[in-house]
Amino acid sequence: MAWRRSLASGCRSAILCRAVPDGEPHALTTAPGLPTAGGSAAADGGHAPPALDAHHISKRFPGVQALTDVSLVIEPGTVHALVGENGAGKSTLVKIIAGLQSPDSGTIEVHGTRMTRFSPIAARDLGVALVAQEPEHFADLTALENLFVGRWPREAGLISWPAMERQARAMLEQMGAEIDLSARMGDLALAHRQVIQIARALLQNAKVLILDEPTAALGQEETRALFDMVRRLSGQGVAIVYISHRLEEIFEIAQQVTVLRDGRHVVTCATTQVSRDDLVRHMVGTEVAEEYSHTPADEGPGPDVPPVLALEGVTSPAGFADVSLDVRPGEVLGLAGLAGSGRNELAHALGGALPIASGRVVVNGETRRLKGPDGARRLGLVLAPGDRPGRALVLPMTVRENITLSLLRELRRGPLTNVRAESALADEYIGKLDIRTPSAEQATYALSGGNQQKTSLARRLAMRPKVLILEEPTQGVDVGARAEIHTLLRGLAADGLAIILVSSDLNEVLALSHRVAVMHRGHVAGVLPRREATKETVLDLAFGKGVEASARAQARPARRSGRGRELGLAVFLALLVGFLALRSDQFLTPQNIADMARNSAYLLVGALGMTMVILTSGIDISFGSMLAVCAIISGVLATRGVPLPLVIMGTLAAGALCGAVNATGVAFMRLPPIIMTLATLTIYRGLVIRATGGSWITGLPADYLWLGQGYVAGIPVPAVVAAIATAGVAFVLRWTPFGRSLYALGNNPSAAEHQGVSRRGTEWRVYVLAGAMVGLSALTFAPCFTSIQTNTGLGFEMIVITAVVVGGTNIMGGRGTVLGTVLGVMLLAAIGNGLDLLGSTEMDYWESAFQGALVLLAVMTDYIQSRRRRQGAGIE
Amino acid sequence: MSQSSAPSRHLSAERVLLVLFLAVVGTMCAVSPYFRIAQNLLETMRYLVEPGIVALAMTLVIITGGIDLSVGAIVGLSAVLLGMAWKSWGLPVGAAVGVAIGAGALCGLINGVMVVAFRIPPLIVTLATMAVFRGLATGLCHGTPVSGFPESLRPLGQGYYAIGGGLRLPAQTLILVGLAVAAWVFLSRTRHGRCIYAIGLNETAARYAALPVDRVKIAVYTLSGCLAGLASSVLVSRVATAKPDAGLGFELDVITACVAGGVSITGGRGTIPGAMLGLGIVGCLRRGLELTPSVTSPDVAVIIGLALVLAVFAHQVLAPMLANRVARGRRMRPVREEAP
Repeated sequence: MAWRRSLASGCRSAILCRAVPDGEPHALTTAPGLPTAGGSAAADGGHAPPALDAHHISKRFPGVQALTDVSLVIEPGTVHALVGENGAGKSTLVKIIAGLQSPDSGTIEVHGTRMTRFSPIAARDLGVALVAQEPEHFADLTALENLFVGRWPREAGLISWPAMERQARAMLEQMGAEIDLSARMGDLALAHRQVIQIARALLQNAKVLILDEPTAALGQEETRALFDMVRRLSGQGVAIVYISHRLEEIFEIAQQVTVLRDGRHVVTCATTQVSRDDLVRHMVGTEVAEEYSHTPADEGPGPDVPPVLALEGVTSPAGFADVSLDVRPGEVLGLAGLAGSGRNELAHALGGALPIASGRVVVNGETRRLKGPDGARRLGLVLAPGDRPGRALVLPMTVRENITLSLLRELRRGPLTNVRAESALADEYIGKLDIRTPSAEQATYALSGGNQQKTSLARRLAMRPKVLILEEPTQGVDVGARAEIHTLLRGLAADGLAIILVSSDLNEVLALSHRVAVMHRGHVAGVLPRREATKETVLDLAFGKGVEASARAQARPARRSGRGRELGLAVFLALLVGFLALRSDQFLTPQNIADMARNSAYLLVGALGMTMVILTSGIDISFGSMLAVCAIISGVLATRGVPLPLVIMGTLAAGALCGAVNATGVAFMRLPPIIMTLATLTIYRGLVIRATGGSWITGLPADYLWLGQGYVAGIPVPAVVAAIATAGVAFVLRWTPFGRSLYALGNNPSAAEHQGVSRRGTEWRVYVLAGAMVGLSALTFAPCFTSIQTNTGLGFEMIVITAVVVGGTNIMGGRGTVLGTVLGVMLLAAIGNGLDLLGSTEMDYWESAFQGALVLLAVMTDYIQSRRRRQGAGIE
Repeated sequence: MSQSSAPSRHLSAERVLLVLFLAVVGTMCAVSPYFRIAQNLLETMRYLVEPGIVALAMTLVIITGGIDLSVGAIVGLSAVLLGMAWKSWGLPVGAAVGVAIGAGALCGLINGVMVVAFRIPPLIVTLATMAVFRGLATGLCHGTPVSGFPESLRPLGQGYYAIGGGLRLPAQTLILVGLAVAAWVFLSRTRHGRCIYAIGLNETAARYAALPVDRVKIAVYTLSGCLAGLASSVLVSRVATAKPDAGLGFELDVITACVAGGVSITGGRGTIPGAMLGLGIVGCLRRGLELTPSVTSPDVAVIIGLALVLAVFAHQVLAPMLANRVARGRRMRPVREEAP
């Protein structure tokens, strides 16, 4: 088959050379064996196929034609830059190449092999890897494991950690990087996370490596290290697609460059044959270049006009410090700087969305405090965030609802909303801003990017701000709408509105601003008046020329993901045991310890199952009902004289079957786990009562009762079973791909899927396994008593969840250990036993209240710990 | 989407529910000889009121993207407190009802504060407080029910209004109808109602829009607890006993009613009329089955559980699939005309 593929690709390259219009290649590729294809291959001169051949790619999103007939050919061992303005289609193109999206038309071949399915896994198998701006990672796993998620090296089916370590070290050495592999990924600096991501791609034998703005958040040292690495890789034959807004970098690192504009291919050429200005002209296009050459018509308000907003030494833990700026009515103040310079954080802080720790905010001469977006808005500060689908708009709502969302307080008639006034206001702004929509009742997500942006602006303008803070007002907006928005903003400034404009598009900042403040590493590096502001002067400041102050430590110190929770629990448990031993002579007697072990064994077995479910960020509240089902079935089988091994197998099977029903609902019907298991909780309990008619099962045979009441070498049988189960689960979680998949899914489900972890399969198996564990739990529980009741296990799920959560397993998934769960169970067992020994019958009544409170306490502790980590978090 | 945003589609969704509701009532009348007696049909309303009252608040909670599993436990705790307030503290019955409602509201407030201040998923908060409140109920009365309430408590749960033709409407029906109308107007015609939808559809954007997200979230959980307290009072009056296991499994009925009525479990979508139709469907199903001689009460539990799974599946998976198909044919067209 290989020759066929190379024939097919040969014809592709040949056609590309001749620039045959769209349509024809499809006919050829579908029939690779035809004589014409052979002819083309001959014309190609027998060259090896290119590393990447993206061919006539088109892609449309609702409201936007993202790509139109774009082709890209990259040879092995070259660095090929992809440039274009925001919204030019770079991201869409590389997402398609990396299999994250599928094209509407066009084909992609990697080293001559055509990509037939568009999925991240298919792309990976062909050797394509994308390193996104914010790398997809698993924060709670080690850097080492992040390299191998989805394809852990195995020996005899089990994960080989030494092999992992060996391969990782070799790869990092080859890349010339040095990273603490045992560090928790979330604790690594962004630059290191990127290196890990690149290393992961290379470990997967990436032949085409796509770097999407890799230097956006890097310092100069880190950028240099990255470039060394890129050169080394291209020397080894890897083809690299390099996306960057920094043209200087492109001339430094790339051999070829392709320019995209408005979703179309503009030009591809060698970087040696093109000047920086040419590139800019290609990126911007001639007509828009004129638009951009347009500088503000006036000088802006003079220094005698008092500022409407002045900042004095404003500092925020979110990422900027000691910022002093002012803006006057009628002035557009541009905020420039590289990504990560703190310019966006400053904008959000002024809109009340991020905290301000110190410094003075003076509005109209009065020092004020910004209390959230509503507080900022009361002072006349209104932010239009750049992330339209995430922050600026509620896309499923209508255009009317989006425009009036922040204004309903003003649109009241009595306690109710004045519907007529609301519609009138919406229509007014639809007209004013020329929002092109079939009606005000259109859902906003169906509008084009430009009209969505206008809707967002409409709401903010209707709030009648004194200072309008705009973040990326034309990102993902087509050329026409961009010009309209620029005209609108100039008009608003002329009418006396103060505007703070944050944009990663420097042309835009220069075209609109009366003054440009440039940020560098969280500080204002300089403020340039309009006449002095040029690309060069702004970039000099943005790159930190003349500024040595490094305000923000870029790299967070790598912290050890310690075992704090387990240690704390163990200490607490030891103290409790000591206390109980002092208060009661019986507590530490062998008999009492054996009883405790026997009585809590079923809890431990269930908790292990629940731990696995919660690790995937699921939950199963049907545990109690499943316990009843399994206990009844085991009892029925035992009393009917079925041999013990078959009783055990039957019970486990019953548990697994119940689990399979839950699993099907969660994994295949995609129902929320809580709803599915809430339903089966009722169903299973109903079935139990119906089957038994509410009567108890008695007359259990001796061999069955041995399971609960017998001893093996002096140890109660349930304790032995629980110990084996603990070892088994610990083994599975540590040494099997299934076990590691649970952690990966709980940490970052979409990243896990991209790495080839099957979400459905893993979820399905974990619920089935949890059901089987409940079956095992029933076998360590029911035989401890002489009869089995239909209300067995009422509230079981609650005790189990308590133990798991107290043991430090994160209820949101991804973090948790078997040791923690064991300690959690021991703690509950010691407390329960201690209360019994101290003769407190009163406690029986309060037991469930106590458990619930313990769960709340545990999750609150988690929250407080995590908040310490996320300092400077805003309203999100 | 908010009720006002796309009236045509919502009407059709509710029309489907109405047909389903009539079908259930019809089937039950055919299956059960007792159900179809006119006075029994009215009597069914009595059983709908308690879950119905709570379903109103639950609809708001679920639209914000949350859930409240603790409502059943709040019913139990409020019932016990009502009994204690009357019997042990010697309060008049009216004041005892006030205590029950107030206690419910306090429980709800605790839920809301935990959800908002500690950013704990509502599911976990209310699962834990479900245990806490039920434990408090059992602990406070040591498991002993209170009964022997005076005559003055009866109208709340056992009263009637004659509506002519010899038929009598259970008194508490009026409470539900009044509250439902209020909730409907609140959700569809006030700014806080709009805020509830915005939170469920995109909480971050709602915060950026300067909406009082935290306050509204605390308020809906408080309302949920408060109405659970009211439902508890109606229940105690109806069965003339206050016991700590009152409302056991109640949350299932309430959530099932909401979900069957098209309230999206992932938030942002749903209406009060829809939820009430869902309540009617589930309630008539339950009552009809209970009045059918060959059906036992565990069967009813199984059937209600299945109904919940099917309802969620229909609304979460099937409906979006159908809607997508329609959208492809219809909704995108204006955009293409408008593209540059």
